Amino acid sequence: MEGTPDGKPPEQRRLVLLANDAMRARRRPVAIVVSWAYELLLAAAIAWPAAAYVGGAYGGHPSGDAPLFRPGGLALADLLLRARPVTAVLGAHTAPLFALGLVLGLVPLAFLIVQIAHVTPARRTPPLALALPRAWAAFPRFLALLLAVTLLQAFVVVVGLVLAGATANLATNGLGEARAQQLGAVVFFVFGALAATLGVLHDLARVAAIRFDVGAVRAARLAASALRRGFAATTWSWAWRAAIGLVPVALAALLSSRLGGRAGAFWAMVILHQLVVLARVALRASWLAKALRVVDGAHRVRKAADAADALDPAT
Amino acid sequence: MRTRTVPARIALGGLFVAVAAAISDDARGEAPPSPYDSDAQMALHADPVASYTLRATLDPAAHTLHGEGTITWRNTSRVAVRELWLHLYMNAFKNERSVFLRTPLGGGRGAGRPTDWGYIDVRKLALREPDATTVTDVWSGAEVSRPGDPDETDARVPLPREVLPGDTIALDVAWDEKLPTVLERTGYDGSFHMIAQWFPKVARLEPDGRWAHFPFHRLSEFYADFGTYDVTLDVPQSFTLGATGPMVESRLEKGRRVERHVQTDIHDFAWTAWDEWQTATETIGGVQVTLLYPPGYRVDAKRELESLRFTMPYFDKRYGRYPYPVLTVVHPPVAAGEAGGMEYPTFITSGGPWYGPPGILAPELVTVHEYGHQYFYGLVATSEHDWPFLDEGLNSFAEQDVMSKWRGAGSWVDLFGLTVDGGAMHGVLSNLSVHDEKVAQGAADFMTGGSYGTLVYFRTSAVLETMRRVYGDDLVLQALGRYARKNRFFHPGPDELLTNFAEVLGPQAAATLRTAYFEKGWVDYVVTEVRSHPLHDPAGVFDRDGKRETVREGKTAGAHEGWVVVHRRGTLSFPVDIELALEDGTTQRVRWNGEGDSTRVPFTGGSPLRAAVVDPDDRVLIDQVRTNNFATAPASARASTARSTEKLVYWTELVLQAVLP
Ligand SMILES: [Zn+2]
Repeated sequence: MEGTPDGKPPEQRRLVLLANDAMRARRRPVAIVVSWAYELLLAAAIAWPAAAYVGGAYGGHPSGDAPLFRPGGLALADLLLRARPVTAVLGAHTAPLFALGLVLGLVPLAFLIVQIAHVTPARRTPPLALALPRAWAAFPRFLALLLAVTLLQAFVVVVGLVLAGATANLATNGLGEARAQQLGAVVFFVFGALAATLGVLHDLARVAAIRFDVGAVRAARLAASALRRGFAATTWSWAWRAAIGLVPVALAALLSSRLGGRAGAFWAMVILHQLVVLARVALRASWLAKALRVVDGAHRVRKAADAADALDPAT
Repeated sequence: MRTRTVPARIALGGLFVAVAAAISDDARGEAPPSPYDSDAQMALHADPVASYTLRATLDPAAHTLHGEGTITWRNTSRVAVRELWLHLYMNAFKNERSVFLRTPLGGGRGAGRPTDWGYIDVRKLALREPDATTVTDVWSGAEVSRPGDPDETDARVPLPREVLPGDTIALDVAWDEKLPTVLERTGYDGSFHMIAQWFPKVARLEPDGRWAHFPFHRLSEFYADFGTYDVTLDVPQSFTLGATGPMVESRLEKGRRVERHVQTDIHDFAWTAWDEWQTATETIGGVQVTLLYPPGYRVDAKRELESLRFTMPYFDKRYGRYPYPVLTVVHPPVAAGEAGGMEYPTFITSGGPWYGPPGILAPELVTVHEYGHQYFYGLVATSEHDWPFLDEGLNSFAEQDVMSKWRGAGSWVDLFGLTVDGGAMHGVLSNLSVHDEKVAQGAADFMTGGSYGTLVYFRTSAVLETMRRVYGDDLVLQALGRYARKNRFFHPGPDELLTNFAEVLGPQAAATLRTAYFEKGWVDYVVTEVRSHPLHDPAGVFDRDGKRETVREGKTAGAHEGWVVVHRRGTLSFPVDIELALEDGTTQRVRWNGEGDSTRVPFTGGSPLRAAVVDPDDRVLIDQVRTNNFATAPASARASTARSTEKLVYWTELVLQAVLP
């Protein structure tokens, strides 16, 4: 994994690095749309059997699935309770597809990073034929990082839960149950923040792996030192985007409860919901571009970047 | 193991038929008025039968209690008795041979084992002779358990002389008690103490001279006579007390807090002592409501008070005025959660964590439910042991009725536009167990805690809610209100309930109720066929005016005709609407009385028949299978379920975004 693999196909060498300031998500709308399309297709594949079950049960109703959306949830609860025999089937389909989609999702992610970080010598967006092989080549490194960081995060969360529970138990006598549980929540919050920071480090390592074309371990080291240098600014960049990402979801929920069930609202909801998903993908891309600028700023790699640095950042 | 005679059940059928026959066929909306439709003739007081003057001293460090006092008891039956039965409930937690701990019931409330045992030792039980100076010990002859059954919760006390009908006796009593770690309603957790089922309690003697006594069973609650409770509680000064009835005396002496609580017209007494209680008070409709809650739980206390502000006046109006001056609501900490969700006269326990989201109405539901027990258990004092559906079931209906009137369709959950209605859930959940056991049976007869819960609570409620939706809010609540007022301070059985329903809703509705509760009644309306074709003159070979004529294709007139077949499965019946949906988007509704096995609904209309739905407004909440309530004609296109598909895909996308690398 360590170092740059030798003997790369010639076309991959035809991508050059963009200047630090030129790495912007908004210049790569196609890559953002590709990521969104991947999520939509995967979600559709996962949701299909459940949707078919609903169609089988309520397609014969003159109002279709409208009873399932009536206030009070009578028909919905009835259908869910009756779905117990088929949950095994749905689970058997969903779980492996979900896991596979999660792992394969590393490829569109790498593709997005490659696109943001590079440009053709002719200053064009890297075409699929050039960007995809590079993204595919990063897959083993991304997979290694994913496994390592997920394990670490799980460990941190479990330790946080155990310590939070112990804190709450120990403090109950002195502080009373509610205050002790609040203290436990604070303890857990600290570990939750640590797990989120590991997530930030994970993204920095990924962009470092692409930017500097290095292995997983080297990428993780570069990411760690970059994070150390600009800890507050970097985590803030991630946090505000994560927080803002919740806004469209909440807005859509609000609109959906107002519009839901009205005639003609269906396509409005489709568009609204997909815009929400697309907006969140764009925010993620924006963060990845920022992560690229952070690691690049921390570790200029002269020999690779020289060519691109000469380019006009406004390209 | 249990002996329970069943004259009430046998009498039920006969009485019911007699009442039903005396009433017109369809009494809908024409119920003769009754003085019990308002509070005018409602009993003001109970006939005092068993009264207790007690003094209890708590040692909260050792979790022990010493009690002493006097019990007066009157024989209100028709026969002389020579024995008393005493409930020693606390012995349920003495060892694993108790009926409570040994009965195989699976999980649920009370399923755990106490980590510290609880028990009661009666030190003295002595009969005062009529001269009031001499006393005769009766405890030495008492039989705490039966041969071959080590349970010690149901004691028989032979008396030295007969107590004639109408005679009153007085007994001096003293006991020592060890509280268990909190388990199903009673016990301690640290310095928190919930003290219930804590004194030797005389079983109720039925009018026929039968003692309604029983060992303490995990699924069973209680049954007792009314009387006056005059109880003095003695705890360390740093402890706050909450107890049944108003406090009439309070003093601090030698580092102790002593409070005296006196209440007439009740049949149990419970109390709590904790050195961490926070207090909130408010007067609602003239009743002084006190909330006791742990530090940090102010938000729950507020929610509970708010729910009482709506519920108490509503219940006053529906089921008669609440007759006591006080109500104490206790919100135990989560660690002592098994003390929560319980009812005693003027004293109820709620529960739930401090961080429960406002859209999940758990503290509201528990508070409303336990307050409802002030009526269905407290004032209408049915046997919770023999007929749990009369307290838990009727009360679950009353709870979901008031919750839905207060909070609408989101009476359980109202979160991000998703509403879950309690009445609907009672229907759906009770359908799962309806074929398993009868609703109307003794608490100890249920095979599992699960079927006890879904049948006693949810089924009873869902059947009444179905009747409310089918026959109308006013009639069903009139019947239940009449039953509650007429039987205030009495101990009615199922007969009285069915009689009131027969009076107000007619014999058909009362028969439905009876089948539903006593015979596992169920119903499932099914649309099996939806057909139509263009209306045309008949084709075929016709002999007309001496000539034979062959009509190959009848002339069509643009109209369509057809039919819908609806079946009724099961043993209950309700009148239902059947809605026919036409291809041109219009609908037609017809009403079916719902009786008989099937009906064929003829159709004529301007366009082909597309589909049909039986019970389109979800009135028959207990319809066993909802997904067969509709069908589409074979030639018609099925309706779209795109909206749910779109939602499923969108939610999956959001989940993917949360976990995608
Ligand atoms: Zn209850």
